[in-house]
Amino acid sequence: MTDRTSGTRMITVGELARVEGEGALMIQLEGERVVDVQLRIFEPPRLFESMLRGRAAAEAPDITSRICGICPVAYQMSACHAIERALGVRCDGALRELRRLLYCGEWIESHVLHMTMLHAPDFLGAPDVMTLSEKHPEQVHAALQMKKTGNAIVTALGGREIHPINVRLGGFYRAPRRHELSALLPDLEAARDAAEGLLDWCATFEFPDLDRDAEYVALQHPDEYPMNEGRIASTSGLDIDALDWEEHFIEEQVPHSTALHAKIIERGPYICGPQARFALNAERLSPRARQAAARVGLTPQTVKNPFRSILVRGVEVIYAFDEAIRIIESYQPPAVSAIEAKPQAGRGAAATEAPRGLLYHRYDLDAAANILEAKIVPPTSQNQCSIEDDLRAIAPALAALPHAAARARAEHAIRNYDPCISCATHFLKLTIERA
Amino acid sequence: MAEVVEPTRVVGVGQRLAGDDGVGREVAERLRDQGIPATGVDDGAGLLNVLVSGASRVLVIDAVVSDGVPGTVRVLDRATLENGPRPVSSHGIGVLEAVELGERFNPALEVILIGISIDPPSSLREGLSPEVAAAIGEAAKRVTSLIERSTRASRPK
Repeated sequence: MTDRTSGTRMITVGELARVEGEGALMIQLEGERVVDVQLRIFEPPRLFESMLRGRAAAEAPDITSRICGICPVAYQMSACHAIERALGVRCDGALRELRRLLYCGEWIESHVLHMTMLHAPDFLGAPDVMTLSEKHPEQVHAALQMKKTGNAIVTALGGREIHPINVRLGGFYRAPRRHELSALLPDLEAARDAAEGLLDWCATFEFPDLDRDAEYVALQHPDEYPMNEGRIASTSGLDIDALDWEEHFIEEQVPHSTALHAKIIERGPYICGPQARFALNAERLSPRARQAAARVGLTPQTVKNPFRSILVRGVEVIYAFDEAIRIIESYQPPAVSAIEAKPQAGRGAAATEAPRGLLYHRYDLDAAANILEAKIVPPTSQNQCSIEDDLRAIAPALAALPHAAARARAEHAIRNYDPCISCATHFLKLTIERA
Repeated sequence: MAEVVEPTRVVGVGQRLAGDDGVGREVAERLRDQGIPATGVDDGAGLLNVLVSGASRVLVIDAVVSDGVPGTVRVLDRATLENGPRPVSSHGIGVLEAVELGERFNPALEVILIGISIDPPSSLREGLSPEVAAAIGEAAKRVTSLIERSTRASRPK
């Protein structure tokens, strides 16, 4: 919408989520000057925090996995690790490796979907993935095959391709046999080659200029590129245990959104997600993923352009295939499929790396291991301030564009973060023409 | 109980936190109660997972916003449907987009869409309105009859 009667120009996108009023973007410009930027994203985790109170801790992984159809593994993993910490349980060895493998499956599914179906059309000026698939059928077909292998990992470990049901506190209801995982290897190896092709294709895109001097926050682990474990670190020197998250971060209510905006206390907005993981952990990628990153020009400096996040996702897909293959090749089934936990009172917190960034969970339990209080901070609420900052930074460029192009560029800038809008509905729209 | 001839898959699509939008999931649950394997997914991205899994025939049950009376069940003609805007998030891939994509790369794939009319969801809440909840039985019956028809058609003569 452009409102010129008041001398201002409004760029609005009202359909980020299709529940009316629950997702919207508004940019108000006066000439090239930004008057206001408001991004409104609904956060279902807030509903779930209250739903979890009084429930048994063992139910939390399954309940929280319902928050998101794309990243249920992330919710299950953060819940399991936080509660296991409160109960004094630690999963090591094969169980730890299986959890990492499950996360590889989710990273592959989620990243490939976002890169190909949503983000690539932005760069190539295609209105949707169907148009893109007419021009680049090989790339879209290869992406679907890659996604299928990610699904196969989640199915093998989670019991089904959507909303895994095999994850529990202390491990799994049933650990897979060796041959069940090794059967995946030929497809994983072929898909890893295809992932290199996908990244190289994305590297041919033209990236709008945007150099953000932001603080990046991600898990950091001494030995591995982080998924399930590590300290919470930042490019400005933050280095804390997850249990201390609430001493260093604050969530603020803003008038235009029901979502809380997370900030680092006394420092402000920050970025989490693939860029942050890469900025803090690039040297712990596999050699193949490191080479791929170098080939497409990803450096600590170039990664600061959010439009290049598609390249980091591509590198992480290659890494996830590498890790999945490594884990499966060395897999020996665990002696027990799960470590039993005895109920006890306590507090546990954990952060894991969802495809779109740090996912923090904290639980307070009573002596019977029932949940007294739960706190869930999804990556999108952590990135929300930075998305608005990006939109402010590109506003002069938006002001110079015709309305449709400005709207498309604004949406592109939001898609850089693959925000989690779990409550987006997807009903079909039916038009009936009557004679 | 109807015999399901593999690889027919039944998928109920719905966001249960968005009121009537979740009706597809409820139909899938009713079918499972009747012993018919049915998968529930949140959105088109979940549906795409099923469509690329190698199934050759997929029955999809989803809410449909139309000028019809809420709770009306019908097999949808694809030509009358429209895709929504491209979502900003991979969480919002459209159902129709997923179906078109699945078919493009698997020409043998047959997808039948069964729609249940709803009013556009205006708030986030759990649970269905009474008129949409009342349609679950009829939608489940429609799926069962489509499965039986396919079973008869595929039996050796």
